[in-house]
Amino acid sequence: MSVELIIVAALAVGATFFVVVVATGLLINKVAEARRSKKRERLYQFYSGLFADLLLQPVLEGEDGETVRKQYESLLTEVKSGLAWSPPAQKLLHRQAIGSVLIDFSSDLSGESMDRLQYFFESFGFVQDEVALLKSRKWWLRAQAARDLGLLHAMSATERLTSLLEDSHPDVRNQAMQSLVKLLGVDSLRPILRKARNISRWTSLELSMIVKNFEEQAYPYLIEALSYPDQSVVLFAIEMLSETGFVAAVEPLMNVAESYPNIVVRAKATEALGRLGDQRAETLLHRLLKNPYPSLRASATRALERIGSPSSVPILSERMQTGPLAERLSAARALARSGERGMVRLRVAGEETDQTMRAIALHVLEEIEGVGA
Amino acid sequence: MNERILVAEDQPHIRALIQYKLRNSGYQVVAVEDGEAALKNAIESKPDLILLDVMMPLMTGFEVLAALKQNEETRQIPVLLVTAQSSESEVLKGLEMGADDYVTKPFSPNELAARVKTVLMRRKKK
Amino acid sequence: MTEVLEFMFGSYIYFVTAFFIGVNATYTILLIRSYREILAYMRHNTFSNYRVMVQSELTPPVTIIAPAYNEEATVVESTRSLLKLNYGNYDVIVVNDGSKDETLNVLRREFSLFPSNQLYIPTLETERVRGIYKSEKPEYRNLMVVDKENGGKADALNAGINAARYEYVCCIDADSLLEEEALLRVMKPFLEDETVIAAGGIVRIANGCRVVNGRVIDVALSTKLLPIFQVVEYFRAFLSGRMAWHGMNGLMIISGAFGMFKKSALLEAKGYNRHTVGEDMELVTRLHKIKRDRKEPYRIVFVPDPVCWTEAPESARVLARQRNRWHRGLLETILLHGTMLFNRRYGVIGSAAMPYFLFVELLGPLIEFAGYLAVGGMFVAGILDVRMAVLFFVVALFYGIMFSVGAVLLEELSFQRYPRPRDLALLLAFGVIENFGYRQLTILWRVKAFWDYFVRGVRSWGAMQRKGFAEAAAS
Repeated sequence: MSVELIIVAALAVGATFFVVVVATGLLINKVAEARRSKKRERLYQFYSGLFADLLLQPVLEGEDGETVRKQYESLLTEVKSGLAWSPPAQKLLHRQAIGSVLIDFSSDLSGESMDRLQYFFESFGFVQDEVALLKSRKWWLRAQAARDLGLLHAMSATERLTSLLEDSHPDVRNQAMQSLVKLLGVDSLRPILRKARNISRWTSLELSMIVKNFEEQAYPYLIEALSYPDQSVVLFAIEMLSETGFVAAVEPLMNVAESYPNIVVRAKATEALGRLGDQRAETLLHRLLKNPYPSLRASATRALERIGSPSSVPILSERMQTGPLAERLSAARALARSGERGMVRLRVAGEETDQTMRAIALHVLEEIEGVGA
Repeated sequence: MNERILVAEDQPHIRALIQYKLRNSGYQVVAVEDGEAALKNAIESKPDLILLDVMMPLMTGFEVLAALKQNEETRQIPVLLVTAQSSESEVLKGLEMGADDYVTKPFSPNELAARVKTVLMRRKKK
Repeated sequence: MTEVLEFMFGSYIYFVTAFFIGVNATYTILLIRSYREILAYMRHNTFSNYRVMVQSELTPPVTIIAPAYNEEATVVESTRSLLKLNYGNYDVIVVNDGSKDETLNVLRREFSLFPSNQLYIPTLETERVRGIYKSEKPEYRNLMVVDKENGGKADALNAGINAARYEYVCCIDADSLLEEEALLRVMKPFLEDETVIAAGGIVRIANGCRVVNGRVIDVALSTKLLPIFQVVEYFRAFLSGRMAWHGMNGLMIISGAFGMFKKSALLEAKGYNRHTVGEDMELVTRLHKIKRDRKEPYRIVFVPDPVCWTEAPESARVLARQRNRWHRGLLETILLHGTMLFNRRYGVIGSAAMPYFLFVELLGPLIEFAGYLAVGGMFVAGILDVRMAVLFFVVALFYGIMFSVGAVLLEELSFQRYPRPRDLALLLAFGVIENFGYRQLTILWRVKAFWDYFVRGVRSWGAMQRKGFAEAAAS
């Protein structure tokens, strides 16, 4: 009996201990955190105003970078001497606030203000700190440093970032990749895309937001990437090219759509051809309409809908007659976009006796013409 | 007479920067931090121009814009949108809804001031 | 005679003790695993710039399906807030499940709907669809209303799946309030891993929060008791339960209030089961079964931060009905898929998740209830070792408290959605108080579910009254 009692008592003591420690710890932390975050917010506000002002102070253009840099440095004298006199704990808080203000500014500003920010960051020694973090054993610290260096256009970190392209953690690789593209611009796309392996769709979406800013300068690199070994890179290139309306991309994309060893990639390329809206692709698309793979047929129909050329009317109205309902529907949709003849064909179908055919036609006519078609 | 500009932007650093920049350029500036306050202020004080961030708490820039254009009294006030990164559809949506111009982040402060100036000039000519 | 009784009660007490130790060991493991999963998620997640990505047009389009039954008070407002979400490209389908009130007419008036010629392909079998409506106004062009005869929530969802255009389908409750970035956040796992077929988001309780224009702008606790108890319960269920199961790919529930699915997977599974009240859990369990039967690689994930706010019942009567229904749903799912239990073919589902749901979640309340009865019986028979019983009760209490506090700890380590220290103190306090009364009450409700199912043969939904968020915020 007494043994049981001791066990029970021990269990109760253990649980109580856990509860008391956690509960008091959490409460103390919450209150302290509320105070700290208020202080952080105040500091953030203060430095926001201060640096907004410093970023707008007029600077005389000099012949060489040196004169400009001297003026930048003189803007910082006051802040720096303030920092030098504060006790270490305070100093850390202030530096953190300055760092986050600068990083936030850098993601929203461009032009001369950005140069100035870059200088400030270097001058406060933040770049050094971040570069040191790139070697951290904790992946999330490496990834964060990689991201911040990109945001701050820290050119001096290029080499280190390049070596992170082969990091063991995917998040670190992604951040390094994005930062390098930001730092080195469009020319970095070749080495980066060559090295990239298994980039997820999410990462390629993130990357696309950056690459989009290069506009037509990126096209040659993207076309080249269509022949890279990694499938995820090819998909990324296809996706980017389809958004551009770049005519020189049509031929290489047709090659991919016709003969790439993977069906998903072929379907993507097919759809991209539609987005480009180039009539050269039409014969290929007509051929793909009869491909045994349903996904390729579907992509080809959607592509024809985008291109909307009258010469597709005969084959589309044929596709509209038979097959799975979803495919007939999209053929009808494509028909509606294929000029006046296509619409006429659809209106005729809308009065047919075959119920399904009529329903399909009416559905599409309503989509095009709106209410009461 | 100095033109009065209403700035609605939720992020404090950008709000401060825009405020200072426009003040330096000789305008009177009132800055608010969310969409609701922007709408309220616009209706009460009828500024000469409104600078609206698209992503804001309480009401997005688009919602404020729609409300401004529905109100007889604020319909005439020119609106300049601030959008995050180049997103074509957002820009188009904004212009369709009646915004006069837009600035995309990242932007340069000088460019922003120049755009504000042209929008105001265009209004004066009318 | 006394000896027989003593033996019976005594061995039951030993059984309960063993059960109690097993359950608490399981909870401890789940808590620790959840902690690791949340930490990993938080770290991974800081590197996604949602603010920028939400504006991308390359994100795959989504169809949102919101079933509505007698929701005339709230349907307009909730539809409006769905149409305002921040996401590249999406449709909203509201399914009117043969409401007896004005639900359809309110919608028609408010959104200028007209009867549309849209082709409806009944891939999944449902009750008759009476009509499809679309809006005349261009700003609502992504809205569709499907009007059908009453067939229950699962039936309505199936009709919505039939009408859905896109490859990704998001099923929600009509009164769910989604946060602006919620769709993107719950879509992310699909984009990071092609094998993901379903993802569930976290559900939080909106009672007490300030809601403006369909957005929760200030998170706070309700001033009423029942909703606060439920907040602690939801923390336990979502943060320290589902997060751990997610880590083992053994997630068996995606809450009906907010889940995203690949449409192809839903069609493969032939949609929701129309004959159960636990259609959300049944579906996910079936998805596991199908994929494991076919030996296809797949993942079903839980994402802890795309927040869906929901209005929790404030009256004991409504809450009792809800819990009763949930428990019957759990019971039905386990009866339907009992073959997966301890079946090695189903991996972690058969060997861990199923047994957990059967013994801890489903039978736990019954065993605990019987424990209280046994103690009572022994006391009456005069064979109760009072000292021992009290001690046991104390330990049980402390462990109950420990896991509630542990769940609050997870919240505080990760998302910290309640900014006020006062609310945190309240949550901790309620983690203690709930063991005196509330916990026993929920056990009673769940035991009654067995009674209703097996003895009274109840198989239907209990009605839920909704106040509507506008009103809730104003009151």
